[in-house]
Amino acid sequence: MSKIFPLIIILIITFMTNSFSLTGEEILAKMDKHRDYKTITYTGIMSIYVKDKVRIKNLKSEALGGDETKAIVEFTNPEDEGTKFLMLGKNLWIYFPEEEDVVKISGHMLKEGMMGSDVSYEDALESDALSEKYKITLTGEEKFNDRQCYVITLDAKVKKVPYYKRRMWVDKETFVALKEEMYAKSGKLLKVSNVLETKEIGGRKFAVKVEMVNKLRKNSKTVFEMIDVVFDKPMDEEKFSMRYLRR
Amino acid sequence: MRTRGRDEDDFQELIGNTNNKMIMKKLLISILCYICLFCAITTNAEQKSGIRFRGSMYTDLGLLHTVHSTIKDEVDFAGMSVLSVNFKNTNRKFGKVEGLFDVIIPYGSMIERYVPDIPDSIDSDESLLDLFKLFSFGKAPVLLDLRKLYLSMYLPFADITLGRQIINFGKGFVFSPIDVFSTVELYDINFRRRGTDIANIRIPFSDLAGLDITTELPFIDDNFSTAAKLFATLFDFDFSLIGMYRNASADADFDDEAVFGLTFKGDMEIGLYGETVVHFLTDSRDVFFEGMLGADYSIKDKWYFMAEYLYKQYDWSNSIWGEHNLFGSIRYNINDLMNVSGNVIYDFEHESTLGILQWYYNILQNVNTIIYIQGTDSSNGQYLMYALRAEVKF
Repeated sequence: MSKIFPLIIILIITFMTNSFSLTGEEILAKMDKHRDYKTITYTGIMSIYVKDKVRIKNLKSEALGGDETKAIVEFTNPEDEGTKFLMLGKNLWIYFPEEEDVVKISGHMLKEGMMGSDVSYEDALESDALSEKYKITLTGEEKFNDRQCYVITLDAKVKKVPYYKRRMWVDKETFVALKEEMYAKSGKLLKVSNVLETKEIGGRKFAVKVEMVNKLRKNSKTVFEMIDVVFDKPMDEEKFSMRYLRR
Repeated sequence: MRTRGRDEDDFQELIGNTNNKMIMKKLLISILCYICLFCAITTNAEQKSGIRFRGSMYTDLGLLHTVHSTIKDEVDFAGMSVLSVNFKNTNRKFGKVEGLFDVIIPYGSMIERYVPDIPDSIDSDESLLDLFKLFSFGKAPVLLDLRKLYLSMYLPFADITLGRQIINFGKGFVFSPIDVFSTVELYDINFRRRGTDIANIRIPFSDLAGLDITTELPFIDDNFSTAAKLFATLFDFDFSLIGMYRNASADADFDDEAVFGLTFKGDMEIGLYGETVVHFLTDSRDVFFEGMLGADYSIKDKWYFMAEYLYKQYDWSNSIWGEHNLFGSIRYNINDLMNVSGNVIYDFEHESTLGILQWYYNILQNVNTIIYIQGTDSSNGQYLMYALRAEVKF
């Protein structure tokens, strides 16, 4: 026992030292490692809750990762069937099938809810390069949903950001952000997202069910579920073009 | 006015007969239908895929209030039922076949509103390609509006599309001086566009740039437009440069002209878009300008604003727009399922106004209810339509 005890102490100290030695940037880098992909395809179910009512939107999505994210999303529920989104970097276009019209979403329209959901177009367009836009600080550790989490705070260092401050609860084991709060410049809480389900896909933990609550709306939330998620499947890059958007 | 060659006159005379016109139009539609069905069947056979149908049906029930200045106002029952069916092949890797048609049954005073617009379709099929009378129940005509019926072939170097399509050539929502192909239906509460019979080739240069060549398919007369549009995204703005030639038939309400235009849409804190168009009349050598500037903005995902201004330097006697025209739209989202909105179009020269107020409620997943008041004030009179729309999508 006398030999084991110092070993346990050393192990605890080593663990604690390692834990606290992680900086905010390092935590974010580990998160990105889990989220990085060359390509991703999935089928999505977007459930929009308003009071006691729910509206379901189904979609198919394909995306290319890398420096500039490219994604195409097509809605498949009968009410919105054929409506498509093309995201190329910071640009977003919507294709309305009935009118055969392609509309560029720009300016303040980007802050509108995507297809009436609590997720804005701006949220959908946001790339993962948060470290370029935010100063990241490790502000503590907390238990969230019975999971030990790092709490990191992101303060905007550039003007053009959708949220001036963000707080994330990052699972210490899986490095998945289980909860995120997004604030306005005034300090007002704008949105809260909670991860409802994670899955091990292709050797990485990935959030497959997320709830987003827009605090500016009353009695409203959106649950986004990803099923049939496939990473790094070879993909035709030509799909991410204006030509394919109209097809 | 333009002069015509002897051969052309002879040709016009030869096919000037109404029966011949009817037969030719029906023949062309039949050929298009057969081509579409053939493509759909062959695509299905090879790819084990089928045709996907979707659509909607709505019924408007309301009152049409005609305002008179000297006699007592009239209030009559008015309404319509519209079944809208859309179909397209599910496997669209190499080609697409799509159709969209409305079956319309107008009620009460709405019959009079539709019938004057289609005077010949009732008896002589003259307006076959716009609204076609299928059959009648008493005085009520059952009309068909063929909005889309086209096929597309996706070749490695270009996409070729033939048939009736809806083309959005410009950037304007209501005012689009460059868009001569698919005009906006002003009395439609959703400002839908009409289909046009078109051949279109789209040649991509990159993900966001390319060349569109579009020409109207002339049926009986030689009244058609041909245009080339070069489009690209630069500095986060969508730009397009357009060159067009409009060929007028002898009885057309416009002259032959060459048209050049520039359109743009992008973000300068507010969404900003516009069109500038220069017309060169080939006979009179007159040159005139048209311009449209539009903006949209939203506040806190609750308020949504849109405004457009149209300037027409040259006032064609047949033009529906005057020198200065405004469109404004406000929408307030009560929640994700409910909103109230108002739109108004004002033509300063003709002093005419078209406005609509509506309350929209997505009552169930695929069921919508709209209560609206649509008002018109023009030289043709003052009308107010109070209506309730029930809509089911499938």
